[in-house]
Amino acid sequence: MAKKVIASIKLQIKAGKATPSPPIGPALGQHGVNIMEFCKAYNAMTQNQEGMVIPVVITVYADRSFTFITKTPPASVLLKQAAKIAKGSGDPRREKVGVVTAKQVREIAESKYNDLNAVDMDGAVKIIEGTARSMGIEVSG
Amino acid sequence: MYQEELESQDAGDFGVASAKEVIKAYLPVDIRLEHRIDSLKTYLGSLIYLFPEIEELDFVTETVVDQNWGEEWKKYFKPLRVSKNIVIKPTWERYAPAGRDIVIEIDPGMAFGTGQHPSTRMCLEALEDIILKDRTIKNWRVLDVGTGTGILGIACAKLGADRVVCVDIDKKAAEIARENVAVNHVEDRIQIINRDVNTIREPFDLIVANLTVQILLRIHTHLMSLIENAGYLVISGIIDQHKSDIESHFLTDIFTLHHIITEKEWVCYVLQKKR
Repeated sequence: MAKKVIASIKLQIKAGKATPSPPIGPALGQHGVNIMEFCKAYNAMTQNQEGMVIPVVITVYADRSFTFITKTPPASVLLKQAAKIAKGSGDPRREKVGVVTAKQVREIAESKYNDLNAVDMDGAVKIIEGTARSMGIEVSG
Repeated sequence: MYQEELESQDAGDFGVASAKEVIKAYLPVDIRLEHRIDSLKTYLGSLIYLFPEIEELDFVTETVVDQNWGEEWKKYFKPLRVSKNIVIKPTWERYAPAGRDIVIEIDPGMAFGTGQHPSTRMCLEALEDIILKDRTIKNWRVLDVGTGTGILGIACAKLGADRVVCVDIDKKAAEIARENVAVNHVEDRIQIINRDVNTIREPFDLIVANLTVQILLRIHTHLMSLIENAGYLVISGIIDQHKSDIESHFLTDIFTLHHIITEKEWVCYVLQKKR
């Protein structure tokens, strides 16, 4: 019989920098996961990507053991890098804070393709464009 | 500042029971909290305008008491036999030892090393095997690098080592290790040092380092220089995808592979220096 899953938690954590403070503490502590053990494993997996945010999906089982898989960096982080801006707009409807090219959007869509819930590459590009709009980043060309 | 926090610390929490997607963001309670929440609402309002297809956005705030998150999981930490003779017992649990049991009491606090993680368990198995089987070394001098809770150093002392030096660069870990050493009554043989291992200069018969690949590669020449001829090096905390990196640095002319232990994706190497 497969092990019973009691929770599936997605967190965005800086690579190699997991600590027991929020959000990891409250997110995992309430499910009885040994937080330090998770932090060690996460940091070991992501140490080569320091400086990036590496999302992680943690599956917690009934015996409090857990597994996790890491994902590609969030589109928002990649878009900020592409647009060379420190943060997105707080009011994307009125305030535009940066521009990326259609080529850059396509590159991000390609790098994240496996993690995106898209039927094809055009769908993936649309998802990234949507993230860009939600951040006040315009797509040129 | 507020955007930064959202980017780096927001936590999407897929509740299993609900089909709705929930995003949780943790914001510090300070004088800027109101401002941050207002900004967040402005942002969400802006989103609804930009994406009319979004049906509804519930916005709920909740105060989270900053518990000792290191405590929550304690309910699930029970006495555990990790090798033939070694049993790890949380200080708050009861356990009646049988026969040759070597019981190590641990209160991990926020430090690493409960014996429940494969990397720690494999080290314990290796240490037990080395110290109990190799009769050619009489007075074991052991170095535990990155001791965390002190679990591996304490195990060595309980297995009969004469002198154990435990180092950790984390001040908190060193404090927790000191407490665990006292609980296990091995103060006379264990020294806890809150310094970088590079400051350690004395020779050892056995070094155990349960760290990460990156750190192991950084300190490998120093570690190898501290080991006496015919002495042992146990390295752990290695995920199998990094095996070749480790082997190219640690398997040299003067170090032979004694054996490898694996559990799930974790690998532990036992190396021996040539005579």
